[in-house]
Amino acid sequence: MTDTDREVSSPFQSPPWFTVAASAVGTDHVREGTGKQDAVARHPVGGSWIIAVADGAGSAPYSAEGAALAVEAATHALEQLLMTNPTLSIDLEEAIVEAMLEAADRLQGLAAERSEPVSAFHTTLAVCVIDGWRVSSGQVGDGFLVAELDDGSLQALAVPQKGEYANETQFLTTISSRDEIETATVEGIRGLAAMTDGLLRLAAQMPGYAPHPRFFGPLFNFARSATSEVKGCEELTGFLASPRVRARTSDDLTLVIAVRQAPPAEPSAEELPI
Amino acid sequence: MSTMLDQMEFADNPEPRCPVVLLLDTSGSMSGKPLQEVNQGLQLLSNDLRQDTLAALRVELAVVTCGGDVSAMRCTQGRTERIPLDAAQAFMTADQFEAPTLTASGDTPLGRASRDALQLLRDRKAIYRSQGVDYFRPWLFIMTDGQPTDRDWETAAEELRAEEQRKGVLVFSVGVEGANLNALSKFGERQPLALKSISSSPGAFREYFSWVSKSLSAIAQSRPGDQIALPPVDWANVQV
Repeated sequence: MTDTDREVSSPFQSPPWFTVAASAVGTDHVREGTGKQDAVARHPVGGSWIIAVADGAGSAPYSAEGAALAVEAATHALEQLLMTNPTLSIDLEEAIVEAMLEAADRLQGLAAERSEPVSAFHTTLAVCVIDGWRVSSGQVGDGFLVAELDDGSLQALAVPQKGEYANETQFLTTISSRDEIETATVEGIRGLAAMTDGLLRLAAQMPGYAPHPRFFGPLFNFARSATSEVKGCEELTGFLASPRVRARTSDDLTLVIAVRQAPPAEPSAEELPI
Repeated sequence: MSTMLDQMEFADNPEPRCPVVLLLDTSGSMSGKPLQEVNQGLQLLSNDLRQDTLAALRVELAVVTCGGDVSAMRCTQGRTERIPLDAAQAFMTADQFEAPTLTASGDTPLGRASRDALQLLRDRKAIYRSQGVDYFRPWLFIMTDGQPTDRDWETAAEELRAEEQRKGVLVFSVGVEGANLNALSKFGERQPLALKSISSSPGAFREYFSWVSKSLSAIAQSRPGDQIALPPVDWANVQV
């Protein structure tokens, strides 16, 4: 944060959020040589944060590109909107749906340009906008979004859209109407976690996808105590690569954590109290 | 690594399951070499699936025999016994499954066997749902050398085909030498395959069961959005 930023702070401004993220290729994908098909983005806009995670389908040849484009297109559309409009004047859920539909259009466009079926780019997409003390989200597929409320309790914002069978879900590339995007808003939050399905069976209790408190509690505490963004991301990457995680899942893993608290600033001469 | 991340504990969830029924013709005409080959094939299947850690935990096998009457075989912990067609007892995870030694006798009530097998799979899914266990689409493998001998087999075949159309089950039928492939083709959506004859192709049964094992391994590790690439079929007369 620069001094200029600080000058514009006012008591009415949104509280600061701190985010860390990590995304790692799954051991299955290393073995099969397919590379990572997950994509992730987190962008601050004013006092808000846009967070997106996507998981390209294993069977689709260009799903890594699909996931990357979905995340890029949706976050870009939201950035444009949030940069020119105060968040309080916007229906955030509606804005997220529009951004996701825009991403779906871009995927159709990419497929047409490449003369490939859009199924070659199959991807899921989960998007959230954190604004002050609230978060809004939209999801197509099997991402998992969990909010930590001010009292420390956990609430799932988005749980996987599953078919009857374990290996079925929805894709952004197959939706036929905006109603297939599931939206939610939760107020009074102090933390948010977003992940693709690789970590799902570790983080949620089946059936019903109840967030597992002993998974999320330490995770949010870790983010709150991180000394810097770079270090936090490094540690999170280390966690995703750790043997105890790898023993439980061979899929790509993506995890974003946001906490409503600025990290301790690096001590510098200017910041010492006079 | 951060001690805080070390404090994270993981949810303990049951593995998703893939229920599989092997519907095997054990009528009199299968006696001798064909059934010997089936028994060896089951041994191979059991060994192969145990080698695959995911499949061993996720694939649940039930053996339904069709020879004179229809029954399920429970084959685990060194014991093989005929049991009632009960979804709570008939399925064994692949790491528990021990290959039974089947004997042949009687006619081929394939219609009834198909209906019973389908009911087992439906009941098994209901058990998974009640216990909050995720599951994959059930598989039904049919192997026969003959002609259905029960009166209303065609109705049963049509029921199975309708269930497959509803994506309730995947059916793979194999005709051993002498099978009425035309009748077999009515059970399910896919054309049955004719197993190469034992005399011309001694390894055909072995290859078939190895193919079953590889297919189940592929399912057991599939993730959302995966299209399952089944291994090539080289044990049949017709390529698919």
